[in-house]
Amino acid sequence: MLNPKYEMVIGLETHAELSTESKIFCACKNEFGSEVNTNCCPVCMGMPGSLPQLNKMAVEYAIMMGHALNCEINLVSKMDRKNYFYPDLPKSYQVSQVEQPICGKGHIDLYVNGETKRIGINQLHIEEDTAKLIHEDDATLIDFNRAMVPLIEIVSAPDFRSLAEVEAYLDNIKAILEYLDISDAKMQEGSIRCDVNVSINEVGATEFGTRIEVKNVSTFSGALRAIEYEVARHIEILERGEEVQSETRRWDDMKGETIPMRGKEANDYLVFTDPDFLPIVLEKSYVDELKTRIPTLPNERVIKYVTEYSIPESEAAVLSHSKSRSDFFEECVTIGNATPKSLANWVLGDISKIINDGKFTLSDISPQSIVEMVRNIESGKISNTAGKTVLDELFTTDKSVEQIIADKGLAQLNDTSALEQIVADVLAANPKTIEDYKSGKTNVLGFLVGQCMKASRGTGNPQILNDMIKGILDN
Amino acid sequence: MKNIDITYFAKLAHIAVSAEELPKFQQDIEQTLESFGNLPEFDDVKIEIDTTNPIRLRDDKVAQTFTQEEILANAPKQSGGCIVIPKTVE
Amino acid sequence: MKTISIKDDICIKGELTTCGSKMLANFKPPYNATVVDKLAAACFNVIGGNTMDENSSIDADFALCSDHAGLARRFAMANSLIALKPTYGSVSRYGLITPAPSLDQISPIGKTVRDVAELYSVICGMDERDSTTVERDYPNFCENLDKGIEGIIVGTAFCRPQQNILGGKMPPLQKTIPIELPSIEYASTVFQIIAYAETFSNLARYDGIKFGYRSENAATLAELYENTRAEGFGYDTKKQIITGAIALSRDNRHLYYDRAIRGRAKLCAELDNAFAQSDVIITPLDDSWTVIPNLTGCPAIAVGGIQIIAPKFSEELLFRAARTIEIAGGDSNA
Repeated sequence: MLNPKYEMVIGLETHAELSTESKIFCACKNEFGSEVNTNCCPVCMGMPGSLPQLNKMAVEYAIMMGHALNCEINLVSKMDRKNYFYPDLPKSYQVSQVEQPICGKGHIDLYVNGETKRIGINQLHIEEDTAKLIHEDDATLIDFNRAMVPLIEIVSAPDFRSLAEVEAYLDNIKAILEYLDISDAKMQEGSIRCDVNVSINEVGATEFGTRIEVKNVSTFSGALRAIEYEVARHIEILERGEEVQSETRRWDDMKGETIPMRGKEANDYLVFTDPDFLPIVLEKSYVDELKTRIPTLPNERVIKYVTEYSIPESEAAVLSHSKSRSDFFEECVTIGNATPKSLANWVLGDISKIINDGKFTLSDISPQSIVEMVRNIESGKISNTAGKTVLDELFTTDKSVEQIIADKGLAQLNDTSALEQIVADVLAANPKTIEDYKSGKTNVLGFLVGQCMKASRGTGNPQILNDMIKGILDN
Repeated sequence: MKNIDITYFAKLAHIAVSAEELPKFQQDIEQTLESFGNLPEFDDVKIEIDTTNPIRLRDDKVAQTFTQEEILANAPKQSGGCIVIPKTVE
Repeated sequence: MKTISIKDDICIKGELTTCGSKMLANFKPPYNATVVDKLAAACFNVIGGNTMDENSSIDADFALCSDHAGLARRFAMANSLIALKPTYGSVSRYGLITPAPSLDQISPIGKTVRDVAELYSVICGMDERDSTTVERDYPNFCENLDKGIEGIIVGTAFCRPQQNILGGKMPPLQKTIPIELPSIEYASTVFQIIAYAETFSNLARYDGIKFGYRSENAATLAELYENTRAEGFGYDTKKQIITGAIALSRDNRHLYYDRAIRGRAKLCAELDNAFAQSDVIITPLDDSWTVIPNLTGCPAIAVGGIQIIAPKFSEELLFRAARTIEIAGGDSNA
C-alpha cells in the first residue's frame, strides 16, 4: 500500500474529556446528554465580569495520566490564553497550557507486531472544551453545556511510522484512561478526539517533509483512514514534482477525504499568560502519592501475557483493553492449576460474549469457579462443550462447578471398556459408513464419533472415541 | 515602524474597518507604535513564575444555580433553548 | 442609610450594566459583583450605573470605581474626594467588567479618609469566585487612622521641595528621602502595551452571539463578528484592540509585549528597592507615577492632589499617612 520509497511520520494530539463531577473552571455539572444550555453559568458562558475557578480533580487526573505516561510532573505550571474567534468558544479565547504545562516529557512502550516500540510524549496539559454547534438548514445553534468541560491534551512526539503503531497507541490511551477511571473515553459521545499531524519523506532523508494537520477526527478508524488518505495525497503531490502545502485540513468521514479548513488558518493564537489565574504549585509528596495509585497498565500487561503466558499478541492486546477482564484473568492465573492460555480463551471467548450481551457482569462469577471449570476440562473430566454449560450455570445460579457437573451429568465417560462397547455398537449399526471410510472418505470419522457421543448422551470423551474408532478401522 | 498591515490585524481582531476609516486607524496606530518603539530590551530581566501566592483549587462539586432562561436572557437571538447564529460552515 | 454610587462596569443583578458602551447597552447581568453583595450585607444602599468620567459627580456618600489606568484616583482628584487603589488581590474582581485584568482593582472613593477606610474594610477579603484574591487577615482599617506618621520614613518622588507640595499644607516630615525609579520614563509605555494586549483579549468575547449588541448586518458569521464589533465599540476601543493584537502577534511581540513584560518586572524590582529605603512614597499623579501602582500591584491613595504609594497589603500605613495630610489640610473634623 505505501510506496516503499517513502516513510510516513505521524504525530498525534489526543484530547480526552475528564469524568469529573463539575466543569474545569466553574461548578456546572459535567454531563453528556443534558437538555441544551441547562448546565451553564456566567463563567462558562463567558459573561462580562465572570472569573474562572480551577477544579482540583482536573489537576489530579492530569497528573495521574502524566504518571501513566512516564511524564515529568512540573510542580509549578501556569494557564495561558489561546486567542481565536469561533462561535463554540464563548470567551473567544481558550484557556490552556502552552508554555509551562502540568506534565512535561514522557513516553509509552507499545508492543506492535512482536516488537516493543517507544512513542515519546512531548507534554500533557489541561484545557477547557468548547461548546457544541448544531447545524440546521439555514442557521447554526449553540449549546454551551460542553463549554468548559475539562480536557487533557496528550501531545505525542512525531514518532509513529506505521498505522499499526498509531492504532496500538490510540487503543492504549483509551485503555489507560479506563484503567485510571478518569475518562469514560466514549468516542460516540465525543469524549476522546484527536488531531493528526502527517508528513512524509523519502526513506533515508535527513529532514521531515512538510507537515499538515488534520482536525476533527472523532473515531480511531477515522484517524487511520485520514492518515492513509493524507499519506497517499502527499506522495501523489511529491511524485508530480510539486511541494506539499503546510495547512490545516479537516477529515470528512462520510466522503473519506480531507478538505482544507477555513477559519482556523493563520494559527497565530497571540498566546499570553492568563491573568485571571495564579500559578499552580504542587507539593511533591502529593504528586508522589498519586503515583502509587497507578495500577499495572495495559501495555505492560500485554508484554507479560505474550512473553510469560505465550498468548498471541492480538489476543493479549484485546485482553488488556478492559481492566476488569484483565484483572479477572490475572486473578485466575494466580490461583493456578489451569493454563493461562486456556483461561485467556475462556475470558475472551464465551465469558466476554455473555458479558457483552449485557445481562450479566464479571461480578456474577468468581475466578475460583472459572479456574475449577478449566481444570476439569484440562484433566478430561468434562469436555469443552460441557464447559459452556457449566459457564452458563455459573452465571445464572449459585451452584459450584462440582454441583453443576453432578446435576447435569456432565462427567465425561473416560472408562475404556464402556467406550469400547459404545464404539462396537455404533460400528455394527453403520456398515456403509465403514465402507466409505475404507474407500478413502476419512472425514466420516467425525460422523461416527458424533454417533458415539449421541449414544453416550454427550458424556463420551470425544478424543478417546476418535482414537478408538480410527484404531479399529485402520486395522 | 511604518507600514503595519492594519487590515490584517483588524481581520485578526474581527473588526470591520471601512476604506474610509482605514487611513485614520493607520495613522493613529502607527503613531502609537512609534511611541512604543522607545522601549529598551530589558534583556537583563529574567521572568520567573511567582510562586508566593499559588492558585486556590476548587473542590470537584456541582453547584447549579442558573436556569436555561436566566442564561439566555441576554441572548440577541435564541430558539428552542439554543443561541442562534448564521449558518456556519466548518 | 449610607448610599454608594457604583460605576457602570460593576455588575448589579438585573440592572443595566453597560460600561457606557453600545456593546452592552441592553446588558442585565444575572448576578451581582461580589463587592455589591458585600455592600448589601453591610447595609449600604447601592446605586448603579454611574459612568464616573470627567463630567460626572457622585450623588452619594461613597463611590466604587475601577482603576486600571488611574481612573478612580483621577476622578477623585477632579471631585476633591479621596480614592484608594487597593493592593492587587485584596478586593474581588468577580463582576468587574474590565478590559485589563492584571492592572485593575475596584477602588473605594469617599469624602474623608475614614470613609474610604470604612468602605475598604467592607469590600476587601478573599473571594472563592476570584482566584486571584489573597487569603489573609485584614485588620479593621478604621482603628489606627489617627496614629500619625511618627517614625515613618517618607520617600518623595517630587523634585520640588516638600513645602511647595500641597500648596504649603504638607505637614512637616522629619525624614524624607528622594526616590527615583530608573525606568520610570518607560512606565507609561509598558502600561499601555500590557493594557492594550489584555484589552484585545478581554474584549474578544463581545461578538454579538451570547449577549449584548448584535449588528443587523449579520447574514454570515464573518459579518456577525466584524460588523457587531465595528458598530458596538467606539473608535478608541477599536484602536486599542487592534494595537493590542499587534503587540501580541508572532512577528511583533518581541518588540512590544515581551519587552513590556520584562519592563514591568523591572519596575516592580525598582519599586521594591525604593521600599527598602522608605515606608511610603509620595508622588505626583502624572502619567508615569499613576500607572506604577497598577503595574506593581501596590496600593495607592489619592488625597489632596497627590498620590501616596505603599508596599503591598500596607493599606493601614497609607490611611495613616493620608489622614495626616487630611488633617494638615484643615479638615480635622473629618
